[in-house]
Amino acid sequence: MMFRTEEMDINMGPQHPSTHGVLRLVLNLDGEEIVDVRPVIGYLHRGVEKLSEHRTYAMIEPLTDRLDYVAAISENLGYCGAVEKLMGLQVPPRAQSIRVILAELQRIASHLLWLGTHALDLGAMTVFFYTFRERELILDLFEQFCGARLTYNAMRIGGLLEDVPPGWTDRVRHFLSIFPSRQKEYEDLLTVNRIWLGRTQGVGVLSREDAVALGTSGPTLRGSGVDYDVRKSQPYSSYDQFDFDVPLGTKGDTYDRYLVRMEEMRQSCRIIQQALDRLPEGEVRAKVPKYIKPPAGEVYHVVESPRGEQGFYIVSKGSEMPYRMRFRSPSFVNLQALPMMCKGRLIADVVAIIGSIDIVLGDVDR
Amino acid sequence: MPQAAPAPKANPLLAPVASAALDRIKAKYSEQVIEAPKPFEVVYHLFSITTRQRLNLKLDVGEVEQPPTASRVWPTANWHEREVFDLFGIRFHGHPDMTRILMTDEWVGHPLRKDYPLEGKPEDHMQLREVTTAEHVYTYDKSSIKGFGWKKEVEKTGEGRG
Repeated sequence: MMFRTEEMDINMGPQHPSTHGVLRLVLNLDGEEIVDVRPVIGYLHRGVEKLSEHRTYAMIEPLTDRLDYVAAISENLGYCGAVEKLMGLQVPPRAQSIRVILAELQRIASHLLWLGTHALDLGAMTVFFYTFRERELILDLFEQFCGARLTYNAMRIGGLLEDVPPGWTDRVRHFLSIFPSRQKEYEDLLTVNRIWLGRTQGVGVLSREDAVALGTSGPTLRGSGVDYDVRKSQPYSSYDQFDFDVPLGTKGDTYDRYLVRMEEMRQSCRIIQQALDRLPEGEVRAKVPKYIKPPAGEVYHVVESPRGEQGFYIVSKGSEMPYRMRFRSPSFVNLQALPMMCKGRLIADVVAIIGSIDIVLGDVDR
Repeated sequence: MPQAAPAPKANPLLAPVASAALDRIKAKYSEQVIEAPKPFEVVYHLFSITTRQRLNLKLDVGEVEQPPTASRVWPTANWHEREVFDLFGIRFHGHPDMTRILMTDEWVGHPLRKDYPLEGKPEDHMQLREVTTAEHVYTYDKSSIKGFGWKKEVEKTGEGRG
C-alpha cells in the first residue's frame, strides 16, 4: 500500500469566524502539520492615510476611530497627542488624567473582548458571556461620557470636549469595586483548566530574539519576556505619575500572553484608582486656535494601545491638512510574526495563535 | 531624537518600528521644479529596546531608483517595505517578496503618490452632474477637491416652497 505524501495548500479565510475579521491565510500543509503560512491582507483597506491628506486635523480624529475599532480611545489619544506635540500645546492636567482613565478603561474593555473571543475559539463558551457582561458596563460608562459605544471620537486636540458628567467618577469607582471579583470568575474557568492548558501551553512559542527582530510590541512582545511598555519608557499624558507594574511572560507561548493580558487588566484597575483619587480640578481643554494649522515639521508620537505600540507620524507643511499621515499599527506588525509561530504546529493551533496575538483587521489594513 | 547614535554594527535589538515614504513632487520647496530629481523620501523609524533610543533614517530616492532592502538586517522591515512598494511604487533591491500587500495584485498605480487621481476613471463616475435640493443647486466640478467636487452654485429664492 502506497500513500501520497505531497504537501497541500488550503485557504483559511477571508470569511472564517476564527480569523477575527477578513484575514486570509494560505496554509501549506503536510498532513495536518503546518509547513508554511502566508497571511494575505488588505481586504479592509480603506486608504485612511490618503484620506487624511485631504482632511483638516479636526476631521481626522473620527477616521482614527475606525482603525482599531476595538480600542478607539487609544487611537484618539495617540492622534491628539501627536498633533499637540507638533503644535507645542500643553494639555491641562485634569484632561490628561481623564484621558488616562478612559484609555485604561478601554484597555480593559479591549482585553475582555479578546478574552471572550479567544476562549470561544478554543471551545470555552461560558467565558464569552461573562466577559461581555463586564464589557457592557464599560461601554455604558463611555456612552455616558461621549454618547457613543464603539467609535467614540472622545477627545479633541488640546484636551477634551467636555468635562465628565456628574456622578460619572462614582460609577467608575463602582465598576472598579466589582471588577476584581468578576475577573476571578474568568480565571477560575481558565487559568488551571486542563483543556485550556493543553490548548495554550507550548503553542505558538515566540522567542525573545524573534519577537524583537520581528518588531512585535505590546502583550505579544512582553509575553516573550521583553520589558518594553511605552507607558513606562516614554510616558505620555501623565502616565509617569502613576504607580503600576509591567507584567512579563517567560516562555513566549500562548498561555504566557494570556497571563500577561490578565495581569494588565489588574494593573489598569490600579491606574484608574490612582487617577480617580488624585483627579485634579480645572479646565479640560487648552487654548486652541479655531483653525488648527500646525507649523511645518514632522512628529512621530507613540502610545501603548491594548495591542502594542501605536505610532503616528505626521508631516506638516504648515497648512490646515497634513502633508503625510502614517499610522504605525501594532496589529500589522504583530501579524508578521504569525508564520514563525505556526510552523510545525497543527491547524487547530493556528486558531489559538491568531487569538493570542489579538489582531484587529481594521488596524492591520487601515 | 537621541543624542548619541546607536552602535553602528547590525544590532538585532535595533529594529524599525515604522517606515514611511513621502512623495515630494508637489512639495512646497520644489514647486518651481515639478520633476524633482529625488521625488521620494523613505523614512525608517528605528528604535532600540535595550537603550530606549530612537533614530530616524531618511533616504532620498529617485523615480526609478531601487534602494537596498533593510529586511535582511531587520526582518520586520519586510512588510513595511512591501507596503511602501504597494502605495508608492518604490522597489527595494534584494527584497525576498516584493509584491503588493494592501491593494490587490492587479491594481494599477500607487495610491499614496501625490499625482494619483483622486476620482478614479471618468467612466466609473456616475453621470450625476447636478443635484437640486429645496434650497440649493449643487453642481459637480471635478477639479475642486473641497467638498469632494460638489459646489453650491445657485441659491434659490424660495419659489415653489409653499
